[in-house]
Amino acid sequence: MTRSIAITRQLAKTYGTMAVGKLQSQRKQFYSYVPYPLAGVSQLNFFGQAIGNNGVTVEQTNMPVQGSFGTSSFIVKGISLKYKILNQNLTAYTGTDATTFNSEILGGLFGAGVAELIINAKTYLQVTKPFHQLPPADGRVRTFASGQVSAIVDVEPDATLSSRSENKYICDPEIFIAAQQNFSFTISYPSGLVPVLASSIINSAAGTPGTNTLYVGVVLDGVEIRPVQ
Amino acid sequence: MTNSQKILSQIDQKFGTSVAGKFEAIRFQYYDYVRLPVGGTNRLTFFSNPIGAVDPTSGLAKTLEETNIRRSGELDERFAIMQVRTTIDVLPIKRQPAAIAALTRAAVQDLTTTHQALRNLNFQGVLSVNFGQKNFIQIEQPFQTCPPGYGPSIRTISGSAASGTFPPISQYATQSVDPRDVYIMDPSIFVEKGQTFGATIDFYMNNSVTLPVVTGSDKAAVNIGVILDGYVIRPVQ
Repeated sequence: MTRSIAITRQLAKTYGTMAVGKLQSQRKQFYSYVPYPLAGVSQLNFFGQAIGNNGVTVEQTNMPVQGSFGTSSFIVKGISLKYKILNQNLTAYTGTDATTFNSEILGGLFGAGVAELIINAKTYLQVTKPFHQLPPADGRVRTFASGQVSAIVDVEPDATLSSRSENKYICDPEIFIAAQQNFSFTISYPSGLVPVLASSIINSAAGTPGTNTLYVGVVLDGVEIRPVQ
Repeated sequence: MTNSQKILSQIDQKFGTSVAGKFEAIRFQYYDYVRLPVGGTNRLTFFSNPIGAVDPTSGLAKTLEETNIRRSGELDERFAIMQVRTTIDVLPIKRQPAAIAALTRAAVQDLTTTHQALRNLNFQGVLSVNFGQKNFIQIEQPFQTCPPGYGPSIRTISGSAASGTFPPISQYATQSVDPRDVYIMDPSIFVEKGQTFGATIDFYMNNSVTLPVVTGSDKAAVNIGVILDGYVIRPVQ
């Protein structure tokens, strides 16, 4: 059975006899960002909140409902893990881990963890060091610099999660998540918490707008199948 | 016989006549990380200690971050190996020995000598993967031949220092992060559920590198991983 037949069958089960003309498909990214606590955390849960829950805005997630795609079905073709922070404060660097976000990339929280995607109690993804194995691959911003800060301090080090499109984690065959079907995406740290290193840069984990909270997120890239209205 | 015929034939033997619609294939990884002995070793053994078992070098119980096998030397699903990756992972600073974790510039400077040693490790070792008594994979210099194919995008490494007129050199070594360099199994290797297998990296000519002291008497904690990437073939519920 090919993947397309499997998906068509599942759609037919959901909608009775499936009428193709009643559905439309489009490329879509569903995303979910959560704050990373300064002290680390044993597990991060994504897609557990919808827009509007507890002040969550469309900058943090575009999930229509908690833990499912609502009336849409979704074919996951690629997965990216990302981060965002209001101010990386490049001029703060004084030669210590605390004063550069670079330390998180090379020796911090992005080098640990295990990501799991579970649908209907079945594991569809189980990957270690997920921020490196499932990188953004989205054309990250680049910064160019020269010179030294002083005789003993080099220029700000610069590294980020992979920006190469060929590093994108491709789900092949793709993963089908039916409408109303609950799923969970977690990143856990069972071998121990990983507190932030760049403590002079990441100065709040409260998730309050305007503070320098580090958000980490998951982007599911694929094809949304939704009923035609 | 093509490899796909071989896989179907093995599934037929297991389930009578296989009905393709009753199975699903998903991309999956089986992985195992072991702690690199700081004084060097002549053999690293993988997939022998499942989740909950103690890593003999670190003395810590393995979690899902280190392995996802649940029985020693066995996979819990039928699996087709498409790619083989090896990784050299310096643990995050906050998981390093206490004296290293307490350093204020461990990530940007103090692990330089560790990275210099790990660069040399890339030229060592032979990876062997055996199923039953038969050898299916034998690769020399596995850290270079089977790199992970993922990793950060690094543009600048900065030293900085609190002493000296000029900062000391800072270095950071990585295996290839280019996915085109990953070792492809073609034809793929089909592993039956419950079939015994094992993997080792042997250092026949010399032991693996000795890691340098970072501070006090503490040396860096480094995990070595073998990742088998491929397709799990499992019944549809």
